Amino acid sequence: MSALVVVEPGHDAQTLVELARPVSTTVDVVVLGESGEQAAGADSTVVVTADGCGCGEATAALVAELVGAKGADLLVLASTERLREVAALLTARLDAACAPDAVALGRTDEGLTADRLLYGGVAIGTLALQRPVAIVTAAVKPSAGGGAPAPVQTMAAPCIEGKTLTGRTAVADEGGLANADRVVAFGRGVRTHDDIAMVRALADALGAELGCSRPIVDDLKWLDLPHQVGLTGTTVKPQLYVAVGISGQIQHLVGMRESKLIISINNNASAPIFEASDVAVVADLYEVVPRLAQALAARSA
Amino acid sequence: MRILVCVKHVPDTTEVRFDPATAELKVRQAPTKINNYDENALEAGVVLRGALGAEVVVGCVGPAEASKTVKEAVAMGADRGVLVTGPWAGELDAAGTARVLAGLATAEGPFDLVLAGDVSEDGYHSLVPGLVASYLSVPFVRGVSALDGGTGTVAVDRAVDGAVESYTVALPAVLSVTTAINTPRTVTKLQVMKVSMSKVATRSAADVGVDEASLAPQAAATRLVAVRPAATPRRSEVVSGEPDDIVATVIARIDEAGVLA
Repeated sequence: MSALVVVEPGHDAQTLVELARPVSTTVDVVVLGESGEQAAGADSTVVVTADGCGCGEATAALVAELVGAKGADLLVLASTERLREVAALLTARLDAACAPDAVALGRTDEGLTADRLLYGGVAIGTLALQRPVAIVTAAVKPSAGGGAPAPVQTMAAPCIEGKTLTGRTAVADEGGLANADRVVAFGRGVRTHDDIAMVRALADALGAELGCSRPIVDDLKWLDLPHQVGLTGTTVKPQLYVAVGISGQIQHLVGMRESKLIISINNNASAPIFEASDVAVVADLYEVVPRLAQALAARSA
Repeated sequence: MRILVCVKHVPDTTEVRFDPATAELKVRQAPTKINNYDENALEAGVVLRGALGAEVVVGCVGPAEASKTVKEAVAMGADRGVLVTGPWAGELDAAGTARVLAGLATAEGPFDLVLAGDVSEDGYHSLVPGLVASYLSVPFVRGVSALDGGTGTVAVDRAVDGAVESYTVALPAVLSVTTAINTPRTVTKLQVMKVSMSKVATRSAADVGVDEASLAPQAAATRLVAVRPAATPRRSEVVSGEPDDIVATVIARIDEAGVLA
């Protein structure tokens, strides 16, 4: 079994290589972009620079060509916004079996299997991948840098007719959430937009990044997606996670349950967040949060 | 202009539980609803109709009871709905669903634009819209956060990691949208009840040109073979009482864990 791992510049491909390794005899890494590092644990790493606009269809065509050239039967893509689009296009193009956001791969008599979260994270399901080519996507970490540069190769990547890239604007990376040591996140228990200042004061006192649950982004639109913790937002793994007025829907818990110390503040004693917490503060957040922020700030002053 | 909006009938995932006694997921008992992200797609379609003039058709693949979701989508402003259903409809994988939707788009079409939500709340695969585009051999953009209609083209913005990209896309095309694109209108139960069933057509797989046998789980690209619980709960210490006492306890726990260093 031959695996091809595809990442973008700035990614550490190692976790994807480790995901593929138990079910693969060779694991080759492709970095899509201008430059990249040798991936630890891989049999080879090559940087592939496309000569087109880099749209999803062009990238899918390019990766399909690489899969054919390598004879790969497993394709592991970094689960980024861009490569999730490519994964869907490749699944059709290669008539492949696709398991997005896989957490483990296995092999049985009947072939390759992939484990992934079901129903927003209530359970983990094992999927049989019943096609000659399997595609999985998986979470990838940013690279720490300092690795040896990998060789660069340029390939033709013709764009699909009818789709024209007219602009690309870099967006400031507001959420250092993914790699934060401390996160304070809030949910619908916070009643007004003005009250975000109160939560932010606690985050500042702890030296924490500010996060939130899905309704704050999707329904209230108080904060942008980079602040959202959970399945459709960012998965965080900080030393300290403080959940303020978050009920704890499963799709939120999936994004924070690997945190070291989890403290939750909610006035509903049966809120599901408490089952995922080390410290369950059953109280009015409006009484606790300002006092906690003040006590912490006074201590460090 | 004709717009197809694909909607999924999903269980409310917050009500889905894993039963350790039987090692099974309790999905059938959960209440069902229209997929949130598809409501944004429908709103985008209805807004575009207002600007350009169009027919907005809702397409759904699912069990017979999904007609409830199609009715809700019509109440939200679609002109009519089509549900493709059959005994196979409960256990389709993404590729199977997309083949049926592509068949529907062809049988009821042609459509200038196909819209859907980026993901479904139950599966979170985010595969179906891209697959539909591929099967129809038309351009696809995922993650659309802004949409402007023109003559024969649309202009879209989409957020990718660290950037916003703008595209001009010639029609026909398939777009999947994020929740940032709009705020869907809400409808009352009464408005949904008032939708005439004559606006909801039901079709079989054969009606849309898909062989039913090809939709069997054994023929699918992916098949669920085992389920286990995702995580064990933490043993949490309950802290309540006077706010000042709570603050003292919380700070003590933070210090003990050494997480401020």
